[in-house]
Amino acid sequence: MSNVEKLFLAWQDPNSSSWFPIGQLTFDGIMYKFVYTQGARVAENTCHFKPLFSFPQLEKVYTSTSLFAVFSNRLMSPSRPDYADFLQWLNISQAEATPLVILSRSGGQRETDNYTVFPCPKPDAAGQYHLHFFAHGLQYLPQFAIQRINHLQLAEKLCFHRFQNPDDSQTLTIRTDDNYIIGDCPGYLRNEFFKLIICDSSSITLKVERVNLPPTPLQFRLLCHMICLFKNDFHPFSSSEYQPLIEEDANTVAFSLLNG
Amino acid sequence: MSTVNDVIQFPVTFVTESHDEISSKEMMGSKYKFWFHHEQLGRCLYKQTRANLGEDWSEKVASELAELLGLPHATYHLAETWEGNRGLVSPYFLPTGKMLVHGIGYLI
Repeated sequence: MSNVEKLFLAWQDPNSSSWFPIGQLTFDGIMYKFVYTQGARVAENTCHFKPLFSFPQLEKVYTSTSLFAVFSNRLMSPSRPDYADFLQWLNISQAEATPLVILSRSGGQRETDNYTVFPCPKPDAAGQYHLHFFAHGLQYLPQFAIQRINHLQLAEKLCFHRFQNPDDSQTLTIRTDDNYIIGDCPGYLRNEFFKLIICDSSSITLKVERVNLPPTPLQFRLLCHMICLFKNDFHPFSSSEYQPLIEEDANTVAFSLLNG
Repeated sequence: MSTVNDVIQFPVTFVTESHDEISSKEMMGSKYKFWFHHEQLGRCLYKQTRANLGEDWSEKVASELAELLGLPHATYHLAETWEGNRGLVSPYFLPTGKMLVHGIGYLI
């Protein structure tokens, strides 16, 4: 089971803008499996979250040999004229471009719903966790900040900075060594890392993974690489809201081999 | 009886490079497409069409026919980009706070 790939599905409440991890997608090389996490129950109780149309029951396990439409709709078709450019933006080679790897890197956000996906990282041999994400909020930055991003170097050191925002007490911006604010940490990651970043910032290294120069849209302009060393046996995404609502062997809903 | 003078001409919406820069990608479908903010139309989807296949005017005709028939439909505007590519611009039609569920989501 060590090769099982795992992604979380997060939902943003449109009223409060709060993010909740509401589901977990795994792939063991043969079967895709989706299960709601306990975060879905929290979202239901606090923000009236409703189950997805494709997964109508919270306490079921959904399996399929093909990727569920909710996730495949977030992937670009390899036949698209912009597909090769897109993989370059993600810094993924053709050989490693599996659906879950692409979703892990792209985030899978769409304009027509409030979901995103992010990976559940595994520790490397040194016990470090690696996460990649695109810096958010670039569309709100002044032009001189965009120019600074366009001149960032590969592996250039970045850091998180707690920004005093009256509307959001946990805003985490991304800053360069020469004090340019160049974007925000994605909200769905912030929940998990805010405390660590504030209390023990030495545990986290943040650097430039790739800059996709214009005309690349700002959404995919700055790819960051975060490396975390967790101490005291703490593991990321191990709190209850990331855990399945039910045991995965019970109440399985198997899908037929539809070619979606 | 109609004459040449009765032919309706539809305006062509211009999509700029700065529209593209602050866009977000739409992954579904086989065509190059992205969401952007248009100064007059608000949030819109730009969908690029392939040359000489009539993919732009056919969708425009379908949109106008649906309007005449009183059927619910997505609105389409003919479009051209700063690079001279042709396509369509369709304003966002979801009410605030609502999410789109695609037909395939009912099947799988």
